[in-house]
Parts: sequence; C-alpha cells; structure tokens
Amino acid sequence: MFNLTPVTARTGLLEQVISAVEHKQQVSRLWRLRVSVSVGIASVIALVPVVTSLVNAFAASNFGTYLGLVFSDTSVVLSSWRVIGASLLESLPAVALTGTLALVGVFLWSLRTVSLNNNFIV
Amino acid sequence: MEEHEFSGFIAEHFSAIYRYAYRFARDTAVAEDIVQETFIKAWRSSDTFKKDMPVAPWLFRIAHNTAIDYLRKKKSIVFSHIVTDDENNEALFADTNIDIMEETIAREEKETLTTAIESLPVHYREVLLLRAEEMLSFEEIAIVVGKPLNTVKSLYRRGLALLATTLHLK
Repeated sequence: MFNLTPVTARTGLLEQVISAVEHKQQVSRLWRLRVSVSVGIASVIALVPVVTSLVNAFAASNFGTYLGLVFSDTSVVLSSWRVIGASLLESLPAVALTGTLALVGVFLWSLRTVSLNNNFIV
Repeated sequence: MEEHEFSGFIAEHFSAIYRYAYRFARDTAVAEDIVQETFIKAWRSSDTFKKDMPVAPWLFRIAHNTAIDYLRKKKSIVFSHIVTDDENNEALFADTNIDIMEETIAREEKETLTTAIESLPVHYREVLLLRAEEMLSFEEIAIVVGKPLNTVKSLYRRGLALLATTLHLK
C-alpha cells in the first residue's frame, strides 16, 4: 500500500539466525538424550530387584495352584469359573507386578526417546 | 514441525520479520536480536501451533511480544501512555476518510513517508506498518497486537490522520 524505503538485513544474518536455532535444537536434543539414557539405565538396574521380588511373590502366592487347576480339573473350573477367576486375580502379586510393568514402560519410553534423538549420534 | 523443516520456515519468513523488527525498534542491532529471539521462540512453541491456522499472525505475534519485552528492558519506550492520551482529540480525526487519506499518503515520496511513519508513536506505527507494508487484515493485526478489532481499526484511523498531519497533508 505504502511505498517505503526498503529494509534489508545485513548479509549473513539469516544464516546466523538459522545457526542459532539449530544450536538450540542440538542442545535440547542432547539434554533429552542424556535424560532418556540415564532413566533407561536406572530402570534396568531397578528391574533386577523388582523382578526378583515378583518371582518370589508369585512363588509365595497361590496363583500357581489356581492356574494348575485349569489344566488338571477343567470341568470343575468351568463350572465355577467366576470363583476360580476371582481367586486367580486376588492371588496376583499386584504391587510387584505393577512395579515391574511400570519399570518396563519407563525403559521402553527411554528407548523410544533415544531412537527419536539418535540423529545426534552420527 | 520437524526440526529439519524449520530452517526453510525461517528463510521463508525472515525478511518480513526483520522488516517488522527494524521498523518497530528503529535500530539495526536491536532488530537483529529481536529477529533471532523471535525464531527461537517460534521453534520452542511450534508444537502448539495448529497447522490449519495462518502462520503470519502467529509469527508476528511472537515478534511483537519479543520486541516489546526487549524494548521494555532497555526502557526505550514507555508503555504507560500507550492507552492514548489523544482520546480527547476526536475532532482531529472526525472527518477522516480512510480511502482518500491512504491514496494521498501513498503518493508521498518514499524517504519522506518512511521518516514520517518511523516518527509516529509505536502503537500507531506498528498497526500502520502491519496493514500497509505486511498487508495483514485488521483481524490478523488484532491477533498480533493483542487488542480488540475495533481498537485496531481506531488506531489505524488515528495513525493515518496523525501521519497526514506529520506530512502536512491536512
């Protein structure tokens, strides 16, 4: 609409701005990579005692006994499937199982984050 | 937006943002800082940008906020009187015919017009430049400056009248 004196940036400013943004992107990517690798390693280390606890909890519970009934006394299980089902669920070591699943989820998240940011590793 | 696409985005909008920053700040070094900070902020908030929305108002809004923050820190402009004190001068603007005024002003010589626009208070200058140089609609300008549509139209009308006065056209 109005014809004004043109304004042009000095030579090299565009490249400087692009470079500044790319630097920020790289710093952010490196930070995400560090966090995800640290969290991944921590989750693997934490899995050891949690899985051990899960195995022990399963051994101590009656879950194996109820599950064995499904194969040894199928007719009884079918006629009382609601009671057997409830017993199976109640005998699950919920806390250890939840902890294990949560740590596995955290580990998978860290793997995903590392793979998304792996163009930093060249 | 993917990171590798962003440099293309910067190149596409760089000239317009630099022009806006320079006319706003009237200083090359400040304008360069504003431009760089604008695109860094744009990258940071690119995840929240809805792709079906127009880019220009969103990007100019970031530039506007960046420019104001920057100049506030340097105390280059005082915003206490941005709510204009020429509200009482309605008579000055009562007879403004926008189209005729735009045509008259547009015939002015380039350097004279540029100097006159750059001498205007920032709230008029910004609206005039977004409309006349960047060709944004009033609705888009309202998004950029964060003011109601009627306020933007009023600022534009008053800015034109003030510009005409500065150019001794009235």
